[in-house]
Amino acid sequence: MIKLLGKLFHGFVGFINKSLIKNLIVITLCILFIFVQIFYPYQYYETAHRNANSPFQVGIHYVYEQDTINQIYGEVTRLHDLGFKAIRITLECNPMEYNDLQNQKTDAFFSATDNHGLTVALVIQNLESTDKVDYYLDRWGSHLKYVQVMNEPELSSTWSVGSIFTDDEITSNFEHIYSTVEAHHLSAQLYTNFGVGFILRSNVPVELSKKLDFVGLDIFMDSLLVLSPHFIQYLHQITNRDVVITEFGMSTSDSKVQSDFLIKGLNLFKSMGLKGCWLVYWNSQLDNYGIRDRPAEQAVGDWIAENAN
Amino acid sequence: MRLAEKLWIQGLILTVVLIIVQFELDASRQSLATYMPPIGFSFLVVITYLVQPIVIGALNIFIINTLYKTKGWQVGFWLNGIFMVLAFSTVNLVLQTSLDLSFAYTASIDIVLLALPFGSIARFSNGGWKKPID
Repeated sequence: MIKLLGKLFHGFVGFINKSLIKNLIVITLCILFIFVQIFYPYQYYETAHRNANSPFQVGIHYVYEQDTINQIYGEVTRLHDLGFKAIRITLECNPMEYNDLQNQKTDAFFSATDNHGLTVALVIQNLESTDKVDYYLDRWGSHLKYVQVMNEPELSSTWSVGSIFTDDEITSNFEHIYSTVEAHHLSAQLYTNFGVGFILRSNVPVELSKKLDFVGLDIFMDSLLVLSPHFIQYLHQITNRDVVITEFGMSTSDSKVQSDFLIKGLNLFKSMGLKGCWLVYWNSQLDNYGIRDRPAEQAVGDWIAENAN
Repeated sequence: MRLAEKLWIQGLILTVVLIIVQFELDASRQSLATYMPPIGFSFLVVITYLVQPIVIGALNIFIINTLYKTKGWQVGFWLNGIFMVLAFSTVNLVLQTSLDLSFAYTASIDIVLLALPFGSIARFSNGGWKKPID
């Protein structure tokens, strides 16, 4: 029996020692390693539930300018009751008229967030005028905890076709907005968010992060979620800054898919030990990102109650 | 020398070289990333997945031919090298992810605990010929 096993073993060794067979085995193992490298971090973090007791801030982007002024307080209360700790908004105001409806909405919004003790992150878009930023920060700057200087600058200046920034345009525009914000001496932390395109323009986060407190990463699709541990690690490596997921959501009419996607992501990011994840959006008239009045609203609320500190 | 000793020496040499290359790549990542993007990034990819495997593959067959008194090779330099690079980086990725360790710690584990296994797969992944070849 032992002789037979020995013969079989030697036969096997002799078989795999042939150049052709060895090449095929090596190629097969290489493919296997590539799959492990792509999928292992995501699978591990998504199921491991590490860092269960570490603080994790769940926020959401509220497009309050699309709601009526009477609706805003109730919506902020609803977000507070669901457990959200931060609300992200876009800079919207009318510097020309103090009592403009948009300005009244912003007053109502900050009144609600102050009453509920919610922190607010302000997004300053890429081509925002200095006058508007100055007016906004003079009037509401003291309410802000975070200020986002530019939005995914490595991608484009606006969503129009052909509007990609050159490196010089990004840097000068960033410096312009940054100095405008700094002139107000706010206590707010500054950050810039990046899409996955930062991989090809890594100089952008490297340069901008020198003046930032943390950097943001935006995730919108399943494939990007699977690869996000790699993106997060790389962004952290090149910037030496904490990474927060500043935009996380999926525009889909399938509510179950959206809900599952958000919960998978929240599990992943908390397990990775990130400090926070901000969802997009609470409400959105133009697409299917919004979670308000959809199953994702309750699912996320339940997740926060169980997992977020 | 016994087979286990040969495998350990082979594993140790390759592991140390792979660790040094990884440290150098990590150190130069930022400067490469900021060099005329995306040209610098493509350099990083070429160095990581083309130059490094060729160096490792050539080193592996040189060690095999020296330790086992053989000539030639069964698997090409690049394929053998990329196999070693992927095996090394996959093991480190799994260790870093599962144990939440930095590369400095996994590098120590590689040298202390994994030199023999790395030597075994390095020996398995290529081989020379006993008889003279042209």
